[in-house]
Amino acid sequence: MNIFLHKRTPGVTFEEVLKEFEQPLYWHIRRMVASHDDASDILQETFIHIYKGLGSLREKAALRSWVYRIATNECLRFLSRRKEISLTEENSFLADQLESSPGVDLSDGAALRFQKALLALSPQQRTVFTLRYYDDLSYEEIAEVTGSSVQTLKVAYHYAKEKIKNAIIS
Amino acid sequence: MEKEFNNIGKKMPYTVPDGYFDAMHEKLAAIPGRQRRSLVIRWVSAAAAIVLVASVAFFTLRPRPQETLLSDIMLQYEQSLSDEELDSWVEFSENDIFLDLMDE
Repeated sequence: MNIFLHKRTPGVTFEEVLKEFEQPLYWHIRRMVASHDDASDILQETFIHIYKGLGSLREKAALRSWVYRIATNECLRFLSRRKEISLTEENSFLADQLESSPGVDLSDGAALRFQKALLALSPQQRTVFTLRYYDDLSYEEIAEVTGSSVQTLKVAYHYAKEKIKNAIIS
Repeated sequence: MEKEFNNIGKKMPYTVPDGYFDAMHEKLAAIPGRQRRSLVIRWVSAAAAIVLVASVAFFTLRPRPQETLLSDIMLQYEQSLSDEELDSWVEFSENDIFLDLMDE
């Protein structure tokens, strides 16, 4: 028996975390960075960090926000490394790249417009929006992921939603 | 506007290659094994580095026995001779046929 495959924190093994979160985390990362190849690389980095840190996780209840925090931090680190992306300002770089990226279905115009609008948000706003809208995290969980207050997150989500709506109808 | 939002729902335009998640699962499941191997390699490298540093330190810092040079012995011998003995020794050396042959 490989003990490293059964590394235990409060009743959680790496295998269990992998089974439960590999696909949700992939899609979270994909929505953040758009490119399939980049998402794959970031997903692997994320699970390496999860494996290394699993022993330090105190409560099983915090698992979901913990794994999303690791994935989000990896995404933000990746985006900050790209000189053409500013982490503080809205940008259209990823949105502009979307249609020319492989692994994008161009036939669904509405979904494409929606995603372009999402990618045009700042990475912080995109994080809040995707975690709330797609991953159904509570504001309290998102607060654990991002380190922001619940009130700030509610405002950020509202603004992000408005921007996406405006982008869709324009 | 809200209707547009609801119509789109959680649909995304992204696709993944066939069998992607199965292949990725295999890769991710191998992380513990890879991490263990890299941990072992790091420990072995650290141990080797410690042994190397300790060996270098041992051979460079250990006290060495005093080396006595032949020239020091000769000097001490010359200093112990009186002037007369030294003169006769020089004279003997100058007339020594074997030493002369070696010089040639």
